[in-house]
Amino acid sequence: MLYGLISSLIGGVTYGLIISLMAAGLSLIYGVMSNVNTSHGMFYMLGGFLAFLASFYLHLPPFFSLLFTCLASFVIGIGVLLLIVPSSLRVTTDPDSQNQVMILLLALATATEYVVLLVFGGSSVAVPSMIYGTLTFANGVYITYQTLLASLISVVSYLLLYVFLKFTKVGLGIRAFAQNKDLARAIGIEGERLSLIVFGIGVLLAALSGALLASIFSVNSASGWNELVISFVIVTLGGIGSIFGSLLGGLIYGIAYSIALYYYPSYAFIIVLILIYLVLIIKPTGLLGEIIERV
Amino acid sequence: MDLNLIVFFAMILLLIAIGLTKLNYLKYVMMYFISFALYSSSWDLLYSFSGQLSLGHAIPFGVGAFAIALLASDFNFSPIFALVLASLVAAIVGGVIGTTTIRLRPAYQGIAMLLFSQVLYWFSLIKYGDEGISFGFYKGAQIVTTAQVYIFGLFVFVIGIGSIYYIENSKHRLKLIATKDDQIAAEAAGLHVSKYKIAIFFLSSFFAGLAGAFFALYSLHTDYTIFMVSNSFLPIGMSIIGGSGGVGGAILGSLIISLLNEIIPVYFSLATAYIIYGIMVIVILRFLPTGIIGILSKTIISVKNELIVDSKLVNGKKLNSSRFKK
Repeated sequence: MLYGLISSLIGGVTYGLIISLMAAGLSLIYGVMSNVNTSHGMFYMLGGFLAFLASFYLHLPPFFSLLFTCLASFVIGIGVLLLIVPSSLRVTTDPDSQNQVMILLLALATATEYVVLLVFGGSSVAVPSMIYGTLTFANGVYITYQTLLASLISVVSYLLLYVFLKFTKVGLGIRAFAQNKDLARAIGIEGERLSLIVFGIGVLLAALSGALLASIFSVNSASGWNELVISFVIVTLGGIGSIFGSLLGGLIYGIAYSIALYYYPSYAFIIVLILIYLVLIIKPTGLLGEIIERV
Repeated sequence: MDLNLIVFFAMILLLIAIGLTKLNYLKYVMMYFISFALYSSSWDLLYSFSGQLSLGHAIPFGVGAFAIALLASDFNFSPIFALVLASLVAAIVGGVIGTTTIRLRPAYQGIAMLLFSQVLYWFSLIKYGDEGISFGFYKGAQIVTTAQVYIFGLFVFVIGIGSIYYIENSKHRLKLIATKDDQIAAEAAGLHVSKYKIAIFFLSSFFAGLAGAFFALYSLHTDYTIFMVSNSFLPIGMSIIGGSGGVGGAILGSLIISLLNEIIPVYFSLATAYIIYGIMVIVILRFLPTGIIGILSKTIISVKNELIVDSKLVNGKKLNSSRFKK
């Protein structure tokens, strides 16, 4: 009984850790573009399929297929933003323009979903594991090496992201823009160009999280919408614009989900989503909104 | 005369003309059109007249469909009564969910609606399974044949879109547009912005529910796919393609997409159809933000101007040509 719960918790924490990468991407994009990227789930799905493509058609070894996924999604993200979102709408706080961008990205996501459906078919695909085997503890509590490695990769990605935001010039620009747009513009930071880089990095994180989770579970052409919604609640839970807020939010989501999954297997997703949403309604700034320093 | 009204009346005449023929297949296509025209008009009411973007408008649509299915199969209601009751249920569910999202930031509202559409998607999949609910009416079974359902649909079209047109052109029109254009200025001018937003959310959910209930009524079936994100995207696409800001655009957009929905799968597949809609929405939103109805009104104005120049007649009087040259 207790050991089952522990197994479930281990799964939840690792899932939360990996999916929070995607949420961090959503949060970064919101920080600069002040808009929710409605195609974020599509990039999650695309990440899984890119890793699948790299390992089965390009015959890359697993680690290089991950790198390929990151690079390709970064390029695709920048290309997509250049192609479909006009530069005047990229950085805007006007609700009308924000709505337009959300509709544009939603249309892109829907179209891409069906392109993938046409190309790969409706069945689920999985990415081969980088490492095989299981770490078994007493009483049937276990964790696969692949899950451990995926969690490790997400932790490393978090560290890289932190270094990038804290110690590079572009990262400084992103942080400045997330804090105060007018002031950042006044000292000569160009939001339109910055938004390209941020969008690329944000969707890279979504694709990375998709590729990692595709090696543990699987993806199909219709997946991504759930993950978009999950990363939205994680971001709002952790407070917008803070990377470690989304890490914490992801862990909270993972733990809550695994507990709900243990007691109410079929309705777990719905219960957790509605519970977190109620928290947001009561406290719109997020649980950690004011506590955590914006990084 | 308002172009929206002209399109609306022209469409009613077209629907009556099709009703007089015996083309049952075309009638089915037009029933799909009726349902989606009402659905996208209700989305447009929310988007263009209160500035709220709902990315999960399948919520009231699907709730209406499931409500009529349950009312007919479990409670044995008559069709008309079930339709009205289902729309009310959809109005309450959609309105309550929408009211909670108003507290969030503007950019979050759409995603919050998407969240609830995903919740309902999984709930309906777990509760009613893959096969959904197929039902029939036992009481008041006078709505049976295609022709009868079609006449019923015609009434839904006239009453539903007529009411939306009435709301959009009532004495509240300017207040609603002010709410959309600049919320802070509208509040400063003494408008209860959130009151208007909530009221429009309930009304829009009611009409989306009516559309969903009619959709279930003519197909006599409903399942979890009704809550899919692509089904929330369809009314958005229709309104954008036709041109947002009135019922005319929604009617034209949904007419085009309902016809394409029948034509494209013959040559390609339904997936291709969705790809084409996505690309159409992106292209039209970027390069023709007023949509098809915008092009129409522009052509009408330019034709009118040419006519005036040709005959030099304004209000039946001949213009002084020297004055006109100036």
